[in-house]
Amino acid sequence: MKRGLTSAHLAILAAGFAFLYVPIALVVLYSFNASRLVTVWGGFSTQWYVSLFANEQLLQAASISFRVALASAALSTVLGTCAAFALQRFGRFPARTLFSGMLYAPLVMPEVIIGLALLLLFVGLGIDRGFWTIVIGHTTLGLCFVAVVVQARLAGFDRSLEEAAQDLGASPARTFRSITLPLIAPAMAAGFLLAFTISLDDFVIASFTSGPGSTTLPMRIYSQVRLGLTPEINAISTLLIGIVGLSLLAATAINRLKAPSAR
Amino acid sequence: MGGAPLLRLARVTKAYGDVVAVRDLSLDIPANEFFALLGPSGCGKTTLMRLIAGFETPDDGRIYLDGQDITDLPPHLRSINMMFQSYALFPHMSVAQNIAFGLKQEGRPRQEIASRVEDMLRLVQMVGLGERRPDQLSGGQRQRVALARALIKRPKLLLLDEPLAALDRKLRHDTQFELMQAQRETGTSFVVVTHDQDEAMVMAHRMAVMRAGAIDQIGAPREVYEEPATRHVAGFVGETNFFEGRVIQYMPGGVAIETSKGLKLEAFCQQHPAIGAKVTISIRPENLRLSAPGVFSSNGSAGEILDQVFREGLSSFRVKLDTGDLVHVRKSVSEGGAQHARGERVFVSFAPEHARALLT
Amino acid sequence: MSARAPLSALRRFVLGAPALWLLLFFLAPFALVMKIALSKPAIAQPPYEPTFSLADGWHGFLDKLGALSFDTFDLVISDDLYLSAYLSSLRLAAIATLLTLLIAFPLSLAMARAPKHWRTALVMLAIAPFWTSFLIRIYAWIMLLKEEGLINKLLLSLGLISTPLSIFATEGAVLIGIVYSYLPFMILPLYNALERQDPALLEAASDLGATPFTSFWTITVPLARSGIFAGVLLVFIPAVGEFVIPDLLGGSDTLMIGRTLWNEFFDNRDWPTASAVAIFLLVLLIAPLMLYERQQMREPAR
Repeated sequence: MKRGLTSAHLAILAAGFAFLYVPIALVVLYSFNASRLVTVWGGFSTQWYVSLFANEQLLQAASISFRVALASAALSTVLGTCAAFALQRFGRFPARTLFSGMLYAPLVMPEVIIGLALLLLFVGLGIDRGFWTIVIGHTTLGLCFVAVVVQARLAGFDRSLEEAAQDLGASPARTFRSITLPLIAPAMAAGFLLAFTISLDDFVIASFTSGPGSTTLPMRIYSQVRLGLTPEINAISTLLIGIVGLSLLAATAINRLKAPSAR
Repeated sequence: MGGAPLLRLARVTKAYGDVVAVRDLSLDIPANEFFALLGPSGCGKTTLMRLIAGFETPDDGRIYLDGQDITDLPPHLRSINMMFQSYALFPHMSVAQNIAFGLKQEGRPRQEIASRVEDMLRLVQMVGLGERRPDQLSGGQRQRVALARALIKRPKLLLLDEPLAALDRKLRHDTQFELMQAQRETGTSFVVVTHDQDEAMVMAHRMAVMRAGAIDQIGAPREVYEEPATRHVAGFVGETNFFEGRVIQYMPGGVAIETSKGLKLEAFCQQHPAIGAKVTISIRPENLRLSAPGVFSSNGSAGEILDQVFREGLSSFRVKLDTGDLVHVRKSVSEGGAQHARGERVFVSFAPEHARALLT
Repeated sequence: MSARAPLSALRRFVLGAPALWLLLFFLAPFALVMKIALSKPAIAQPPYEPTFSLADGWHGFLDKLGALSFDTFDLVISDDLYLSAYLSSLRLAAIATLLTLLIAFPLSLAMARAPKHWRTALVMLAIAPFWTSFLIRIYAWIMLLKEEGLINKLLLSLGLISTPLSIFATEGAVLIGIVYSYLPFMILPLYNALERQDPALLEAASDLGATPFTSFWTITVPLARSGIFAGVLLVFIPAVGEFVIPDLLGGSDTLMIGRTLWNEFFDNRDWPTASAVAIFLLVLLIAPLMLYERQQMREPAR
């Protein structure tokens, strides 16, 4: 369609994106506030970033969160990709409905339920809660997101590419390695990134599944927010937004460079 | 063409659930032949091609290549290559990498691969474009890369799935001749699967017309056109007019029939239908005569010119016969075909030796 | 993909690994939730009884099985607190879903009608907030909505109001929080449905005499139905069980069932009641969940 934006559309877009972005922009802006009062502008300062790096508890929580996120995103990517293949390529198999149900339900299921159920499982099995129980909780959620992303890519995948490779003499294993994997890799990377951010961001499931000594960053942020607004939270938020923003940009750039469509 | 055929299908059957896609089909294809599998969609030609390539396994029957039973050989071990309808170019590889893919699987030395890729690029007139990505190519270029990629392994047999379907009309015309030339130069047997009878007629040495999982007729294009074995073949290959009726009399070399509208017609017949048997006469539009009323009076019917279309040196007429039947007549302009006006009364007739009475 | 092929060892792993994981860590725990909902609270570790153990033997197991009861369910049903928490969760989630739809629809429509080379960027912009931390986004609204927050400051300094508005710690703030947090989930399916629509349809409608208003209601909206449906479910289901938003933006009187569950569990340490609440919440969500699954099956997400 060769038609420009009407001014009404432009106004709607501007208002909509302002609604989405102004709150986040303000958090970032006020992280450079010299005043201790979060909502009173007292001049530019980076002191909150300095004090952030002196806050041992926060740093430790951040380190736990990043390690949990890495581990659960890696596990989610493997399991989620398997699940996507099973759904997209295996045709009918026994209990397919149950399987896809278990994959889709966690996407919308309230987190308090997932968290409570997992906690009761760990208690029932007598497993001490800590780092790995959080990883398990986050993987359960993350693998479903990875499966959805990878399945979408597989659904648009032209199977004749794989047949062409076999026709040219590539064994099924080589076909997978040289054709299928490179072509779904961008979706797997997107899924990994999604699982990583979901884990890094999660507060509810982590609260249920963490144990002493494994307090995550969102749990720390949450308890600080409950106590009141502090510019330090703005600073750590800005850092998190920056990290996620950069990795999103990097992912897009990589996709642009080496992800021609598999259709 | 003596000796064992290059490809032999022996009583091959393949069903998907209740649907029999290929039914008890046998076919021989010799070396160095351009062969076309022609048929409407759903006739089983695609399944047949996938059976030959190895993407499907027959339920029954065997497939031989060069005398060797390849029925149970997976596709990557068959020295048959295929050009896919979508071309299936690997989007994450350059043109040269695409073409080299097959040789890499054989583990050939780097230098040999490079020089053979260059040869192929030359064959398909793509020299200098080896570093392009598939999405930077035009439709015609993609088709040529697909051809080069499938030919580089010097397969004994090349399968081409609707090779021209994705091209526009003008390009299709040129590409037909390029494919014929590539077949001549490589000496590989080409098997083209197509639903377009024009393509098959132009390119193939021999063609098979398929219907409902079986082959109706195999032969040279001209033979199939002039001597269709069945009503389906007559209708599918080229344009034709049909008259249905029952046999009323035997004639030398043919039969006379009477249609339900009372029209009596004679036609050549290779079969021996019983008196009273239902047959269909097929007569090509170019074999129908148009004459002024009164000149001829047999083997035809009077009628009225409905309309006339001029195309590529030919005049096509639609004539409504007095029996109510509608027929197409084609005359070259040089024969004076343009001389009939709309609404003009004419007599449409044909020589019995130009028409074929068909039992099925 | 049509044939029902026997599963090879590799395929068994590819299917089995995620299936086992989800069975063990997603489905099986619900049986435990049910079991604990039938137990009694106790001052012990873990804080409920009976606790089953292999050492009990068959008779011990049966004895303890007899000790299970529906008392907590009776409590949850009869206590007004739980009922009103349920109802208010449903009400807030429904209102918030409607608001989200009302905001997302024009936005998605404007995105779908934008020039083609803009669209990818617009979609990226619309879903990017989803990647930033949920807590941070809620925190941003605390900054904005508080009595001494930025919105009040701005309005006061503009002279539009003389006393600060008290939005923070009300249901209004919770609604804003839900709409803001879940907006990308509504935009994405709506955009997908709207973008697929052939603009020639609207031209054909207007050519046949439809006003823009009629063609919007008779062409655009009906064709976007699947997108609306998916978006509504994607927002409504998790919003019903939301905990963080009512906890941080709502007042002490803002009742939502997710918060009730949390309080029973963490503050009162009443695991059986928390479990019963979870079961009820699940029952409440079963119908929308099944609808969502059917939608997913018919139209795998992009």
